[in-house]
Amino acid sequence: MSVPARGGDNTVRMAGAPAHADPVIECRGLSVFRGQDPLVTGVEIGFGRNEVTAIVGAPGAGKTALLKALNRMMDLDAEIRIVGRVLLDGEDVRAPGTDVLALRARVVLVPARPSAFRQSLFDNVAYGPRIHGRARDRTELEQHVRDGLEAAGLFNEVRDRLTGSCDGLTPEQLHRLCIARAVALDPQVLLLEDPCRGLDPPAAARIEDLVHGLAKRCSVILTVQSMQMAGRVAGRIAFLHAGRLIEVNEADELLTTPRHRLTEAYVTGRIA
Amino acid sequence: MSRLRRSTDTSGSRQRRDRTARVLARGGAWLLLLLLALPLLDLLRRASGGLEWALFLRPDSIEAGAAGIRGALQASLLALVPVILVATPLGLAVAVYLEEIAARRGVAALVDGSVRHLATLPPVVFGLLGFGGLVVVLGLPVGTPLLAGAVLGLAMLPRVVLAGQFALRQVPAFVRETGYAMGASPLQVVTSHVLPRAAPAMVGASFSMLARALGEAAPLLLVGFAAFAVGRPQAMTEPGIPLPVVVYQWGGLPDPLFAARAAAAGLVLVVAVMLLGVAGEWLARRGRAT
Repeated sequence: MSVPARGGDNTVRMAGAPAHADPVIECRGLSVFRGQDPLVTGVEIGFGRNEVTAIVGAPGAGKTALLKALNRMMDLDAEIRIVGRVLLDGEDVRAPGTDVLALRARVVLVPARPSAFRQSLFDNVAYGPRIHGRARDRTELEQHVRDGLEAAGLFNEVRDRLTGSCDGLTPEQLHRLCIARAVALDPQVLLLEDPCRGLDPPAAARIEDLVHGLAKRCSVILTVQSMQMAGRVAGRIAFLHAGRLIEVNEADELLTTPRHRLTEAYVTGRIA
Repeated sequence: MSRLRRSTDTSGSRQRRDRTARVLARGGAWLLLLLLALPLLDLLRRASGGLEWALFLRPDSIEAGAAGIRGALQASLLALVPVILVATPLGLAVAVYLEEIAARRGVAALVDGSVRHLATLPPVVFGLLGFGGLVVVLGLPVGTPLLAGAVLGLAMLPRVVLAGQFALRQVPAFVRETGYAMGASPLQVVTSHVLPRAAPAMVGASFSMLARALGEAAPLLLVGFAAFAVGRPQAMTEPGIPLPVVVYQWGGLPDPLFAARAAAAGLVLVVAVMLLGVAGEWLARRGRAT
């Protein structure tokens, strides 16, 4: 399904292919409002399994609102109103009776600002498995922690100081720790909010490599401002503009032959 | 002359204004320090005639020469017990409820608004409220540390709530978000992430409230603490007049030795209040550093 929308008019119509053959998460007519102001409007999109999807757009485009609506983190803001459906494996996450805490353990968000809990490195990574009762004994807990740290490429760097505090970690290590903490929960979907924010280019490149590798374990959905970074890290890109989903497509295709003039303008740097 | 070293009219006048503002600010700070130091020096001068070691060992007496603050100190310390054990934890718990758990509507909004209004009331009003509620209705024994503690706890409660709310608001939102993002419940987020970060400020605020409670006389005078008690209270329900009330009583007596004793007792009170304040600040800093 594709609706080419290049042309001279100013209407915003979806281009590309929002539907996915076997989506892990699907948004159907999803709109997010803060009071009366729409943050995201009528989004229809499916996110593939074990795939990295980047939600790209300028600041204020609605990337974070869309990302956080997927695991109901937006519910924490009393001013937020959500219309439409979010389906996880076909089940509506907004249905009455949904266990929101269990949902957030399946669809785990790593917020943009990395923050270590005031606990040891081990306890930080063990936090999720502990609160969700994923480990029956210490050995299982240690396995979860090791898995998380290895997946985040941090195990060898911190193996000798697991019982120490997180104070001496570099910004990149802190990012990795947050990812390790999320991965230790063995999530079905990992939501990364601007995962390279505040990192220098070499550190950002290493995080990009890490994100790429995470898709072997789970589906990854991330928000990012840079189309170039999205192209490096994601297999599929969704471009948002002013709260509307403008275009979704395979990363290579969207970057080389954007179908919508707004996407083209963003890719070429004419709008930001 | 280099162009960088030659000042223009505009930059010259800006620098002059800057220097003037700095001098005025520094002068204001020194003036404030002087205004604080002068009464303290005067208190020291007046206390010199009444300050002696025996003052701490003797209970109150109608004889100025035999009067001491042992009983008053014990009454003051006992009166802090309800403030420490009831008002402070209750106030902090209400702060956590209002800031972290309750939605800002209905009963919670009513409590929040009431607390803010009550915190602005002068402590003497809590003496009036305390007399009606604690003496007339509950029948707490007049002139005892129990009643003093209950009135002081009542007076401090809204302030503890406000201080607790302020401490919780200092915890950045991303700390809560990180907990919720892992699927933690609101209680888990509060206990594991928010409270450890807010604790230093809460401890500091609690000590500051204790210092205020220790130095408070006005609400106590309205619940029957104008009487005279010779004993040294060993229990919450034994007669005992807290130190600020004793200072007030001695200050009003015609005997010059009582005036000197009042100044000496006042100095002890000032030192105790300042020590509590400094201890709170130290604990808060230590908590923030770890």
